[in-house]
Amino acid sequence: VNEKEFEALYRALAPRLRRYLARLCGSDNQAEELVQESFFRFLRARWEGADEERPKYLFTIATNLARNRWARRRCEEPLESVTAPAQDPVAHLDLLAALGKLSPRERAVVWLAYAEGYDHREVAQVLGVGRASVRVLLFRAKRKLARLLEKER
Amino acid sequence: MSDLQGVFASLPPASSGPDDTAVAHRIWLRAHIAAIGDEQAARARTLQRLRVLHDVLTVAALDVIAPAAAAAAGARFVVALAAAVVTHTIASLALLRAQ
Repeated sequence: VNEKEFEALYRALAPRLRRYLARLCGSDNQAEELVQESFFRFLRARWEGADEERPKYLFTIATNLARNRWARRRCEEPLESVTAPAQDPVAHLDLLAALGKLSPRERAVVWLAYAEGYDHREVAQVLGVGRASVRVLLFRAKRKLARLLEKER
Repeated sequence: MSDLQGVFASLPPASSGPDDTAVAHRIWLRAHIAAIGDEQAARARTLQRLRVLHDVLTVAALDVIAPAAAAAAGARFVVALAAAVVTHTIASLALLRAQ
């Protein structure tokens, strides 16, 4: 990619990655830091796959970086420090609060499947796990999320 | 669970920040500088490998020349062997010190 293409890619994908990482890590600052590091690593890798595969590749880098933070237990904080989108209906706030109570892995799988609209195969690629594991993880996360949302209502 | 899908679908779309272009430019420059650093490191590694190869070839050449010269001068086998050992040792030590 040349500089102009990279800028366009950044403007298109950074907001999505930022939102994903903020939910994953529980902090806007950490999310911003990880977004920039993800794009830096993307450039350093000189990745030459298809254009439509770029988002998935960036989500994979970002997830791996976030995973390193989980390992260091930096992403275990609740999501209080994440800015909720402005004019959020109550449903959004409930959902975002409930998401914060899931494990980082469950948050990732739910976000990729529902907010990003990735299918099981794509989620498995991003998270580096098998499709069967994604199905199980998603099932458990949805059940937990539904229980949490019901409790809050 | 369609409820869940609906809530996610109605989340406001992620919008780019005002600094995104500047940040992208900074990342681009950072990656370029890192790539230049990588190139220099690779060049230094190649140079080091060439230097070692040169040293090995120099010692090997001296190992051949010294006993051959001694033999040509009519020296005995033991003297030629001693010349090879002494030359080899001195050349190796000198080259090791130079590195």
